[in-house]
Amino acid sequence: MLLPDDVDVSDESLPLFTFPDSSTRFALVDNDISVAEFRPLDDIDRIIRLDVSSGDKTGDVVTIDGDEEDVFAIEVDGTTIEAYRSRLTSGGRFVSLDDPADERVELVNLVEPVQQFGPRLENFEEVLIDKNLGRSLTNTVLVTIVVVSGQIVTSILGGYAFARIKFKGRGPLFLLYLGSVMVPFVVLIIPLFQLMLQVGWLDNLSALIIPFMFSAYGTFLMRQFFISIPVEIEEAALLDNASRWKILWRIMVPLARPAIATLATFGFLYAWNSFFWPLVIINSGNPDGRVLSLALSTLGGRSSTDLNLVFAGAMIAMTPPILVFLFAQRYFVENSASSGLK
Amino acid sequence: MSVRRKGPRATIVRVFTYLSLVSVAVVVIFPFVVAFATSQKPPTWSCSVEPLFLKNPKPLTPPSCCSPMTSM
Amino acid sequence: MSDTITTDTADSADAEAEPRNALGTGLGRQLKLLSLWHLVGAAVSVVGILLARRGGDIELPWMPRYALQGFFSFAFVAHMASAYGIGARARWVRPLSLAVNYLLTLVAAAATLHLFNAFRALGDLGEGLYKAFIPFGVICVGLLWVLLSGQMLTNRPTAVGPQRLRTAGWSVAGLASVWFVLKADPSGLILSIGDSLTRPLALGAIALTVGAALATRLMWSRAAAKHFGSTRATDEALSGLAFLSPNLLGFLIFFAFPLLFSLWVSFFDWDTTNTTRDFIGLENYIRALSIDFAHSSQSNSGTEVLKGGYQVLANLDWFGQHWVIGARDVEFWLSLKNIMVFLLLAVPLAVLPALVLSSVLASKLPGMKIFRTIYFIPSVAGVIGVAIVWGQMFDATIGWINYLLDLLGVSEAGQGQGWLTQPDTALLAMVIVFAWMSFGFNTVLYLAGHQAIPKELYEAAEIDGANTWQIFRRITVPQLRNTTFYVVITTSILALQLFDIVWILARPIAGGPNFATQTPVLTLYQEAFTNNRQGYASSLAWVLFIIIFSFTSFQFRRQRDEATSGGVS
Repeated sequence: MLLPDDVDVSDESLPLFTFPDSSTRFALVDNDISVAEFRPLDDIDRIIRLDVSSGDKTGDVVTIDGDEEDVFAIEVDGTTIEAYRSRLTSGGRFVSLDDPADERVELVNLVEPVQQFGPRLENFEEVLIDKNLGRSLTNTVLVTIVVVSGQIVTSILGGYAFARIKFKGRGPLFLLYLGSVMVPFVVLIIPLFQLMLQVGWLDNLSALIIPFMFSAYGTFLMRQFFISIPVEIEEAALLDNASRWKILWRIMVPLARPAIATLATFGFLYAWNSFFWPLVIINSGNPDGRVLSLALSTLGGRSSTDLNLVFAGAMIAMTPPILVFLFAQRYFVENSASSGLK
Repeated sequence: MSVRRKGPRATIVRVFTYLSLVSVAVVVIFPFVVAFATSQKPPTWSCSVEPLFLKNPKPLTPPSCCSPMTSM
Repeated sequence: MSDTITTDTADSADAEAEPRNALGTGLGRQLKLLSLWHLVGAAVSVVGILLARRGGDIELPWMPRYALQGFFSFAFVAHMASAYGIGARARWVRPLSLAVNYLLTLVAAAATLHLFNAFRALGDLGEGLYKAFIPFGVICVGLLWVLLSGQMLTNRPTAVGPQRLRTAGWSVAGLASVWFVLKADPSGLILSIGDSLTRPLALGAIALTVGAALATRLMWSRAAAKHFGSTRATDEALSGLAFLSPNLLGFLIFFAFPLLFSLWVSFFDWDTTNTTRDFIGLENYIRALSIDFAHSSQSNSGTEVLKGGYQVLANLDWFGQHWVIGARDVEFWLSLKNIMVFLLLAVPLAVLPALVLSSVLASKLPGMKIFRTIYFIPSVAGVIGVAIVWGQMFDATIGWINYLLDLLGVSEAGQGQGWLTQPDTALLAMVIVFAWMSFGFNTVLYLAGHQAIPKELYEAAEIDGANTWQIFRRITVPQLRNTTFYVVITTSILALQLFDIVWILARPIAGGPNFATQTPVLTLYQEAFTNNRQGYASSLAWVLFIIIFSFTSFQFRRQRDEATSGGVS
């Protein structure tokens, strides 16, 4: 029997199987076809599965276990044998990859699926382009870059002010900053949502960026670091008539590189992985405004039939933070350590 | 702790220590391996339980998710 | 606020004595201009108040309207006072003028950006980044080279290789930037900017920004400081506030104000779009917390024995007596119950393994750093990806957990347990995921605690012949008590806010089967954004906040009492 015209055996999306008797790979080109099971009259324990349309009635009748069965003439391996039809069932049609003329009919659960393991970048390509995860990825990249750089700048400035410059109300203000770390974000969700609604930033990346460019934790971190730098370094520069601004950027910031790296890695993880706030803000049907975590949650929820795509998406989301962690591990561990001793 | 002790008993303790550390590490790594392996599967097999590097997958009953049929 | 000088020492004043006169006459003219500017500013403030009320083209929502009206009222008074004060050469005028001009610069700049649609254009920037992702990657590589070469140059400032690398990095980044702009196609953006330029309001905002910025700069200058007799302490305070200002403004706008506003809203019947807004006092809190006990003669009584408006929360049988507990908001109470169960299970599971593992990792055996790194990975990988992976693991038919159980022969093939669909196990599944995610972080916290334990204690114990368990029990655990306290607190705070894991795992209904995984934050989210009851949701947020806070402070007090009443200091 010939293949349907629209089936291309080399199509990679066809599932591949091997039969127990050979190592040749077969593609499942058609499944759920009607299959007839024939049993040769000379060996009724043997089962030959063929397409339901094959075999011609010879007109004879044979009695098996008290039932009368029609006798069919079927062709097996080029020879015609007589057999009766024991039952009809459904199965699949397989075509050999090596020899397109070699076609078999078999029950799908009796053949061995071929395991293909190897890089399958198509999955990533499909999830990034067809499922629009690429757009979400760039949104996340944008949000992360701006949030992290914003946090670094504001935290350096604020931390320096808290550490070095005397002004009225500095102590109480710093306590307020410290206390703010204890307030869970859920308390702020509704008022911040109202604020974004009224400023017109709903469904917009601004709402994910601007409120998070300021970090009380980062300010605290930078202040602790600046305090640990000896005052003498600065005083010499101040006597040379350098401005605070110059001292900060020329002297303090280069010294504070480890603290900035810590802040950057923590900020990166926070911005990259955040989910609750984007869910609140970008949830009125604007797929182009989604960030990665949000798009991934939608993709994973839509259907579980594309698990390979969902997991490709999950790999895309999980790999950058893991890589950043592996490279910046030193800063993480040191900082977790200092907060643990507090 | 008492890691500098010597003798056969210390060796057993050490082996046991490493074994438990490794088993915890396996539990930690395992979901990531599953995620990676599944992301490397062709669409039609993404729902078989085993990642593709395991041979002889167990047939799933019932094949509620994507048996090879549904995608065709 | 640029690199103008902020200190004013006597030495430097002498050094600059000569050009002082020239500067002085220039300054005089400039100060006259500044007075004029303040008068203009006062007039603009009046216009601003009126515009904010009328809202220009469209009615402004009340939040920005009140904010702008409040700011411009302050600005009006401050401008008038400054205009007078400059003439009178008052000492207080410099801080006041600086404050009003600096704030005006920021407000006008924000208004300019808003009028040019710059905030909305951030979304377009994401689009541009998508179109030009490859050039963007090349830019990143170029900048990475620059960074690397910078690192090398700090060690060997004259090395030729790093210098070449730096040049190459800059040129790669520069070329890629051009490529990026071509790919990202900003023509739409340029057109919209051109459009906005024809609007008088936009032009006015630009002018106001520039004017206020120039005025700030003039007042900030050392000459002006000297003119108004500014002391060194004032200068210091001003520069401190200037450094802090971006941070402080963000803190006030995006933390302090929302916090107070949240409390305010919780006393209202307030929906998302602000059409309803009725002050109802404590009614939200009463509704959330109301609970009713009723005695009943027969078991399984329903709402009939409860007060009106109450629904059955639980049926209890105590010593042959039947009690019915009812609540007005059953979902919230159920979520509170769930989160307490979750807390009791998840915190030990996330802390105890960390305690034990850290004791092993703290030993100086080889390879411990690798294990530490591996254990830490789940807590950085991102909760959504992790939850999705675990969702597959827990799946009834294709999940790994059931598959492994089958292999072990614990359950029969095909008779898989529906971990996430059964009410008894759904919460347990969340506990496992939560503990899996957080124990590695806790291990690292414990490792820090280990470093603080005096080595002599262990040496003494070994001399005494203590075994490993005794050392762990008698030295490690007590010595790590403070760390344990900290770890338990942080883990509990995280656990009480459980949301993301539930949101992903308990699909399609986030509350899970039979409300088994309904959590407080989930209830809050649903009330606020599904049922549009933001006032009520805010009251839930505050109840949750108080629970978290009392929880931590209770434990804190206990810890402090233990510490003061002897024991290990």
